[in-house]
Amino acid sequence: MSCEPPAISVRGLTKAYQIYNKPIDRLKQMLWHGRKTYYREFLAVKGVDLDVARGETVGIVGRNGSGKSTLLKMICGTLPPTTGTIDVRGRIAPMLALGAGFNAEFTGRENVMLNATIFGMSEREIADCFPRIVEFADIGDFIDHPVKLYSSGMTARLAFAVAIHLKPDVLVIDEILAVGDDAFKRKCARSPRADQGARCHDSVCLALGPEDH
Amino acid sequence: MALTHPYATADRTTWQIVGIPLNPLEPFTALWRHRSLIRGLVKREIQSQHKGTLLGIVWLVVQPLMLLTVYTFVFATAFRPHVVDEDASKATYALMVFTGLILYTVFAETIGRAPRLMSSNKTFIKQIIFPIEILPAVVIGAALVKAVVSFVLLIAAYFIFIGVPTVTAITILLVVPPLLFLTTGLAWFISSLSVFIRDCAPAITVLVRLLLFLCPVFYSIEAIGYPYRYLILANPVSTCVILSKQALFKDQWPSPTHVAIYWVVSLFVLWFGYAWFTKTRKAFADVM
Repeated sequence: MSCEPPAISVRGLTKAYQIYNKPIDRLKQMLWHGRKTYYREFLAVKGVDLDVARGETVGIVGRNGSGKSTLLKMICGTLPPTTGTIDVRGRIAPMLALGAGFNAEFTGRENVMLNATIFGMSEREIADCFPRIVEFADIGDFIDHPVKLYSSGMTARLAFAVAIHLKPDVLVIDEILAVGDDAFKRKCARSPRADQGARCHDSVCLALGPEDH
Repeated sequence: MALTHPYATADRTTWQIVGIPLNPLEPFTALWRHRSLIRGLVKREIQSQHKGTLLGIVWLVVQPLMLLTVYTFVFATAFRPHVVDEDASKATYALMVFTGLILYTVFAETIGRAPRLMSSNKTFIKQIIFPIEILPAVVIGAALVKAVVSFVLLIAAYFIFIGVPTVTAITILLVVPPLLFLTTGLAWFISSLSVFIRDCAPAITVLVRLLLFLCPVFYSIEAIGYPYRYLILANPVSTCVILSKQALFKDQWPSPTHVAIYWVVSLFVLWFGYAWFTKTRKAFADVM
């Protein structure tokens, strides 16, 4: 494992949030190319170095506001870092917020299709793994009801079931599983591809190795 | 195609400064790359517009059919403004209006949605890895599907009231693509700008209504005298509407110069909109 390059490699990662009073200030800032400053800074993450090998699970713990979610968002690529580099090898499945990527008006089934398409799966691949997703989520008839009727636990179940069946190389989970019940958490833990992710209530990066597929 | 980082260069992803895409083919390759996702989202978009209705997807045909019936009835019997061309029969005039409206609606629906396109898809920007640059293409794609249905009805009505279209009708395939390029380019620009300037939404609402009357939909361009004609020609939809009406109803080939200029300008707008969008998108999360 040591000779292989890490699945996630983070070097000198810093995020200083720029806080703007008005949205238009952000545009002015861009157009002035930094000759003038329109924002205040808030330092959320400073100088993080992190390597996650294939097959390794890393849990990130810390108090509220200590920058856990910020770090994970940067790893997922939804938030640009201020300085530093992030190398991620392979496909990432982010689970950053409950119900993210779900359209509340559509049924669970339709949302599974949509999520898998966004992730870049072909229609045949989706059809192949669809029964397994439904089985893993185990939400009964609710799969054909709109997601807006789901409880938080059901939403988390479906999201997790989708994420692990997409066969990502890296799975990033931010506190979503905290809303699942114990039975579901045990099930996630038993799933070979989900390993420790489900047991920890906190932010987790999973780098899934080839043996997990 | 696997999705990795939004700013990924290859499979191995590294953050880097996103430069302006100088390659004019860039907007096309970006959309082509996500074609199956766009197709899926367009389908969803159309379904969601009729979700929960009794007729469901049938509305896709019923809606334009009702519009066509009403326009034909109103313009062919009751109402006829004095600015129309004298040689057009009443049925022809009604179908001309319908042609103009089909084209204008593609523009209006897309541009009208653009200001709120980013804010209504916040989770796509902040919580999942999603190619948000395809969202304007999804909106115009859905508008285009509806336009094609309307166009089929238009051609059916054409056969009934006028007869077999002339060969020049084929040139419609030459004048519609620039309209799509222009609209997509503007949608990219407006959807990005409205993230930073919220005033765009009310301004665009008014503008979209205004431009309908500054477009030769209800009248013919020849009826407008000269300084004002420039104002109408400045409307991005006008050229397409004028040339389409000529090709369909007047048996006239479009002037190659006009078509060439329209293509060049629209491709530039498409490229500029895309370049602006790519340049500004990394700042979206800062202000949403």
